[in-house]
Amino acid sequence: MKQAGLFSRIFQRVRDNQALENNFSSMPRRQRLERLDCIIFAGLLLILQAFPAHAESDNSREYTIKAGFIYNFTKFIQWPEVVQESIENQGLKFCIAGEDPFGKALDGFSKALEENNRDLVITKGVSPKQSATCHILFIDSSVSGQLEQYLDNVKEKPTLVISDIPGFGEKGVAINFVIRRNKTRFEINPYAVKKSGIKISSELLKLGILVGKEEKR
Amino acid sequence: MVKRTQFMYLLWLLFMIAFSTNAKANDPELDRMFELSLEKLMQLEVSTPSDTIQKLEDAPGTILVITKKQIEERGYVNLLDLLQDLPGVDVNQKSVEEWFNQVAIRGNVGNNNFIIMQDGVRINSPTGENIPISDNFPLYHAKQVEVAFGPVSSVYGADAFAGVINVITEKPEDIDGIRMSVTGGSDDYYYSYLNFGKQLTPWLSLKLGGHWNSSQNPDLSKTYDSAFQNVDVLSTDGSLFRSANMRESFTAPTSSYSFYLDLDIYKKLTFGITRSFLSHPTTVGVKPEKTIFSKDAEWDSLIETYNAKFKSDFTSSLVGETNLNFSQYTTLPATKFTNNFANFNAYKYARGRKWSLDQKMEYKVSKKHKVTAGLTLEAFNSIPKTTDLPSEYDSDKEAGDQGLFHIGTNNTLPIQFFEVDYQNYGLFIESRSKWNDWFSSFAGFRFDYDSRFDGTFNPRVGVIFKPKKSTILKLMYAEAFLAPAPSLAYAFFGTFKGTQDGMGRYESDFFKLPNPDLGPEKTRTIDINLTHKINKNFIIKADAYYTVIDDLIADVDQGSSTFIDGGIIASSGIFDNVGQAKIFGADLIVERKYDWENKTLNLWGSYSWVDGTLEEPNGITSDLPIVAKNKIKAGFTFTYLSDYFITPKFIWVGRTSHFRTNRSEKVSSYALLNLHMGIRNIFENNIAWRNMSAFLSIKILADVKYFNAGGGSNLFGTSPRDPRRFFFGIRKVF
Repeated sequence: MKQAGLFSRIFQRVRDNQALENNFSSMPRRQRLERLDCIIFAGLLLILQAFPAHAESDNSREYTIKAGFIYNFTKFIQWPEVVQESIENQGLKFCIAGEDPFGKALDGFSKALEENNRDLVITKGVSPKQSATCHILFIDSSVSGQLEQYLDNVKEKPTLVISDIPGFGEKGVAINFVIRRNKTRFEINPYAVKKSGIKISSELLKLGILVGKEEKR
Repeated sequence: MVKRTQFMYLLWLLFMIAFSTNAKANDPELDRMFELSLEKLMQLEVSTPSDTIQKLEDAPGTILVITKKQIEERGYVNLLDLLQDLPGVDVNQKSVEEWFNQVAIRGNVGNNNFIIMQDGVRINSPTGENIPISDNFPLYHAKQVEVAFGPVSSVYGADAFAGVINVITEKPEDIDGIRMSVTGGSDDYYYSYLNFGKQLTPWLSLKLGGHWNSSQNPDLSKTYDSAFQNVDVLSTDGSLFRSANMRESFTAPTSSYSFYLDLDIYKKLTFGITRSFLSHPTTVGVKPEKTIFSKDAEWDSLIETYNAKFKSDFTSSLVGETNLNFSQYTTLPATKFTNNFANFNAYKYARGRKWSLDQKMEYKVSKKHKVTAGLTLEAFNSIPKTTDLPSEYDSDKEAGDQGLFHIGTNNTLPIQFFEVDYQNYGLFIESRSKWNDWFSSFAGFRFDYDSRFDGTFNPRVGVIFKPKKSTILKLMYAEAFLAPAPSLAYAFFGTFKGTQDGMGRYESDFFKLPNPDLGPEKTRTIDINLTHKINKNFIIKADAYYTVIDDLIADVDQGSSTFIDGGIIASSGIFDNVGQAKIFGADLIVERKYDWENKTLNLWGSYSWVDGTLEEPNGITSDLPIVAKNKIKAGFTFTYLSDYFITPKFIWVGRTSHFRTNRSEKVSSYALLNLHMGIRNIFENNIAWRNMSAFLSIKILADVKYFNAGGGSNLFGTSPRDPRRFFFGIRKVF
């Protein structure tokens, strides 16, 4: 005997062994509506299955977002003229003190700068002494204990110091990432920025949380 | 028996979620990140569900985590909404008068068979009453909800029988301001909440919040007119109480509110308060010929907790936590029944209190080994649920001074009130060891001595294998006990007919009588859990379990009784430990995420199978009550630009046994589609109105009439459920 097709079987009447419900509802309509639920849901899935899918990268989302922030900072920052020329000619020197939390996100950072005719020169695991020549220095939590040494070596040098360790904005880091309501924010220590000779646009200052106090002479 | 066609069709739905075409390894998020402005970057959320779940992969047992984002995008307003979508969980709503709805976890039915906590503090009844789970457990303040399946008495002691649910609230610095929301919906539904949190000073933080809700609820007499047609209301002796042409209108309102506060000092000392209230109708699930519909036919539940927690760091390897807690559950005096069994006008009261001191210590023996130990001292005082009262319980008087008389005895037979004091002392120890990258183990036990019965010993042992980073296999054996709630040990209810026998004794057809020797139920479970990550966005989980419950509390007939002086009871019963249940089941869960430019799609689906038998006195064996053998739950959230989302949720539940009546009769299978959609940051560029969101929820999209399992002498075996309802809400963050 030929088996009924899929849709025929789907709409086939259910064997009536549910006498109690018959007192309360209209059975065929209820089953049609239940199947309508299934069909609507399946239909939505089918439509969405048509779109190509992409696998998410393995990078830490948090540091991909921070890399995006740092790239944006470069649009609002002006180094001293001599340093600016060096950046144009030889590339922006981005240094990481300690372990590299950014991973593949730096590829995106580099590509974004290239589209603006700038090179990104990445140096990882710089020592305090080596940090003096960096245009941007990111201090990772793995070397948080050496903050004073890094700050001493970049003192009054045109190095933008960035970190994401609680309280480091107050301690002299120019820009310090913080997390508020699961979203990225940044503290700006304007006194630390001023000492480095770097200028930050007022637009960036408005978006940041101002911290720090002027050192007594 | 499940129709194979429907079953295969629905499994196909599940596998559609699992398998996709056109998967391509790419990094679109990286590319997008460097196109976004600073303002856009500041709107992106940092942590995602997978971050949170990662930490629980190494935890013993089967644990599911539902994050704040998922709660918001799936439209979960309260804990019951969330439980309904979980694998292995049966939810039968509005099907029983006392506890409103019935939850079964892995075949284990009973709203008191698991512990509900908020930030590690128990917030369901401290004395184990079966209470409603509804808007009295809101989720507006939740950062995440962790659900641990299976017995966990080895750590938590009594009542961690079928599992433990922990609602973890957001930290004050994450709230960082005020959140307010207002929702309106069908049938005069109103819901509002306010949540505040702030780091006030570097050493002091505060969070507090509350919700308020009311609803008239759907008029089921219009949706199910044949079930609710006007019929005569008859007393238990068959006499007419109200004729069909004099019937009242259907009414079934609910209301709730809650409040919580946490004050944290130096992140070491925390003071916390929670309070939740729910009023639900005592006519819910009752056949119209057995009850009068009335707005004052309500069951009012109130739960309060007061907690102080102190954390101490003795050394870098030894940390401790001390908890001092007082909690109270009250069935408020206004609680009233209007069914024939209660002579259409009877009140109830109950109160359970607990004072407890917990000390927990955690010692890191080495990088690979950790030991946790704890000591618990608990003192309980309970006024178990009273018999039917002719007027409200006067909570300003002691139980013994109420001066009330049994209904139907012409104010002759005084009502006996019980008040019970008992203590529990617990000691637990558990060790966790990570022997190497691919093998971990845990072993522990808890010993509890309850002054009402002998001590209980509950071990938990298990191993975790990680043959590769993407695969985790857990094997666990655990035992747990469910302490006998005073409401069962001192169950005392029934009615007198108003007549006297030849000896002048007032006559009753039936009374439930106390059994102070009632002991705990005991469960033993073997659990196997496998998690396999095909990649970061594609996870398959499977688990299988076998559970035996001994000393199951069940009804036992006792025949006639003269328990009440001056009365003669024709038939009486008690609750006793006479049953056994054997439960076996399995769950298959699939989670899949897709990402493409400006859009994400999160899919989830689960298939659950549970079967077993319940053995009761006189050798009667039946199917598990209130449990469907087969369930499919699935859904997806589609998000555009992070601000626009839509979440359809699909549930299919197979045939379900009734609760108390003949379990060979089943409630039909049903399928439901619920829809939730919303917009975040509606007025993004307006400083005054930004951080405002709106959402629309439609429950029972296709307006299907369906039924949940109930069952009792007065109840529908198949209890009618709500029709389609609409809800619209807005939320503002300051």
